Amino acid sequence: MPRIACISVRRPSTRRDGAVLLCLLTAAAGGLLGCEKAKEDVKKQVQSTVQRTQTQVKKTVEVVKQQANIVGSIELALKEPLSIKACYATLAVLPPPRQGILQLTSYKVPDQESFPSVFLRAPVDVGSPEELAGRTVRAQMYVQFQSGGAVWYTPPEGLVEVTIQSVEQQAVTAELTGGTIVNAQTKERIDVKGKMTAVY
Amino acid sequence: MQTRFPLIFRPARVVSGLLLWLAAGMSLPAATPSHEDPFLPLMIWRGPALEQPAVAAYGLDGQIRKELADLNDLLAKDRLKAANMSALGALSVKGDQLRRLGNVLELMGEPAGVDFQLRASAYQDQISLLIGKYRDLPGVAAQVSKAIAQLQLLSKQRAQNIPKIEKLIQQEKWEEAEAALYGTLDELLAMVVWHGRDQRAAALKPFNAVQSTVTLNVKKWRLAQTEKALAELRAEVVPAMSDLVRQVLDAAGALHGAATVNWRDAARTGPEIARDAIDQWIALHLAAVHTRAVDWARGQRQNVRPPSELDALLADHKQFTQDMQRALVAVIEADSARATQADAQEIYLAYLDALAPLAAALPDTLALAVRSPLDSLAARAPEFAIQVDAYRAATTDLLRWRQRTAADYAGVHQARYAAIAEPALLAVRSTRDFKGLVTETEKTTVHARLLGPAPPIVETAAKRLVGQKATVANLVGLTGGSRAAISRYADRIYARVDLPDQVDAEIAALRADLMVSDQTPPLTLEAAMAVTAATRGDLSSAGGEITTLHLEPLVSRMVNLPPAAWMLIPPGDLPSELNINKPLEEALLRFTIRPKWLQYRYFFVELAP
Repeated sequence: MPRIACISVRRPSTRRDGAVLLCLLTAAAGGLLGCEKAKEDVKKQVQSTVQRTQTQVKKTVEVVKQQANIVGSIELALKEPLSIKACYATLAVLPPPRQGILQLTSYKVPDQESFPSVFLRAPVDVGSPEELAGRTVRAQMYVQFQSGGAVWYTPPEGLVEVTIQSVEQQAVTAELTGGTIVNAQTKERIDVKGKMTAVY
Repeated sequence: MQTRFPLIFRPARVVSGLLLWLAAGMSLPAATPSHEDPFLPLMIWRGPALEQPAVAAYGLDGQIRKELADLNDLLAKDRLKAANMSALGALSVKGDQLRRLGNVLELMGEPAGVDFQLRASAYQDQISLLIGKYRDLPGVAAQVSKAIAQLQLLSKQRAQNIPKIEKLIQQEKWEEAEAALYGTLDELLAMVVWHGRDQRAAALKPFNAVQSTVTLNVKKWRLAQTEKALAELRAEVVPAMSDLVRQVLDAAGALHGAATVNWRDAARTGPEIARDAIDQWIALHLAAVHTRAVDWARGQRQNVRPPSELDALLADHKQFTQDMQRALVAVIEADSARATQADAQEIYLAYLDALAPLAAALPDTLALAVRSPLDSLAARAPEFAIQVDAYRAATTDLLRWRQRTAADYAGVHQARYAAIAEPALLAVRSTRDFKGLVTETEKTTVHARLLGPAPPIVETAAKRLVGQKATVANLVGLTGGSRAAISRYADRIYARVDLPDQVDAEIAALRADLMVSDQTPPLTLEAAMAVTAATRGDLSSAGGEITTLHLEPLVSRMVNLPPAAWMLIPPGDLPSELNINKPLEEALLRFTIRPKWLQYRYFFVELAP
């Protein structure tokens, strides 16, 4: 069983209202880091997980407070341009053989979903958000313009190509360079391009 | 009134159907009227003891239909005169014999008996019509008039048997008395059908007293026999629900101090106990369904519901469902209190595996109840708990979008297919010329019952429904090796949907999305339930073409509900029928749907034509 170091950072104030602003889970297994020294580092990290998590929560809350005005944005070139003034990133990193999962959403948590709503999800081989920068991944994507309206989603052959342009100042900037989404009701297909800037 | 029976005469098919049925060694309990053979008896539930009268009634039913078909053929060709007059009288007696056999079956608690009596009544209408037409033929009235003396002579001769019947009555040998009575009367009955009311009354008068005594007492005797047998049967099948709850709670208590405890004479871990307790839970739930159906049959026999037993069963079953959930929670809590960092992960994963099949088949109550103790168990190994949190973050919203997309797809398709209850209602609703399963004014099939004999109902419904498109909702995959799903029992309807291999790719995609493989099990109950439900074949809805239709009696269906179909009535529910005055008449429809599309909870499959 690989050893894992995980940091789960949640903002207490948002937990009260059900929101998870940031869920950053950093797993580092031997295979992932590729050396024995790294394994030892991970082991040490694990031993202090709980204490560090508490500390990290406090730090993150402060960061979030400083950046309270940043909520991210989504600009998609679909049939008609889609612009949303919110975008949030979640990175869940699991030990091998599982991959990590990067998720970019137009809502903090499902309970606070508004429409248009966007959900993008991509498996990633990284141990921290910073490692995402410069990578290109293939993502599933779901878009629903109206509550109860048609769901657009990526078919298996139309996964969206996403290039992570930058990860800095608690924000992930991703460019969607190609892909297709299908209307579940009409089977209409449209190409997807655009940009998502997600806070975490 | 002209009945619709001539429309359904298929003598060749009936005979071949019977031969095939017997040749295949098909047991009566498995048979019931269907689109392929609407003449089969309604499903027999009381086993071999009832097969003899049921087979006799079915054989007689076939003979009557064949003879009636021949006679109607002659009538249609204006050659009724060619019919044998005494054979026509004998046919009327066969109709009465069918009614008597049906009555025996009904008194023994068999719904098939109700149907045979309804069939007999419809046949008698036909036979009376034919006798009337025959009597109107030139020369027949004179022939009948001449036969009056012969009738009087036969009545006098047969009356000599009355002392023998009276002796059997004195000895309270009711079945023998009945056999002797009709052994004496049947020939006379075959003759009186040709004569007027006064001549009939005069010929039968000597037998009135013994017939009345025998009929009354043989009925009482059969009812007493049935009540005794059904009371014994109930005692056998009624589940000891509180015993299981106590055993599980005892095990939970012991698990606080040990990783394994004694459970049914073997050392078992908490997850093993949970798995076995769930199996027992399902078995007891099934027994409760069986008991309920036996109670219905007893209510019919007594002509009243046995309310105290029915109500007690309902209350006990409801309590049992709640208690079992609490008991399972107690088992997990015990493990979470005792588990170490070293074994918490293994135990947690074993619990997910044990709980997922039942939790996926139930409303969210069980999943919600075990969520907190499972989280506590995972927290015994902090690294693992964080891994579980990460996994949950990586999968929960995906499942939500998958579910939303599947529902969106299904909504479009459902709009093109009627929910099966709608065409079913139209197909079995009575009209002026058709006695179906509901009256002309009923708006649902919730109270479906035999308003007329089964064969024309099934044949009419089959003509209207087989080949039509319909949707069914809320299906659970059959256990026991079948790759099929069965819809939950609702509106007196359930349906089977066979699942094609085409769904495999979508199941694989779901597993891939949830990062589940043989080496990497799901880390949350929600994901475990998603994979289990998809693999088992649980469906939110399905649409397709109706390919088969069967009519089943409610009592027989529920008494005979096999373990593989336990999910027809999910644990926590019992069949909802409460106030049934005549349970043996109550019926339901079973369909098979050839699917065109399948809505799983987390994906949608449109099948290639």
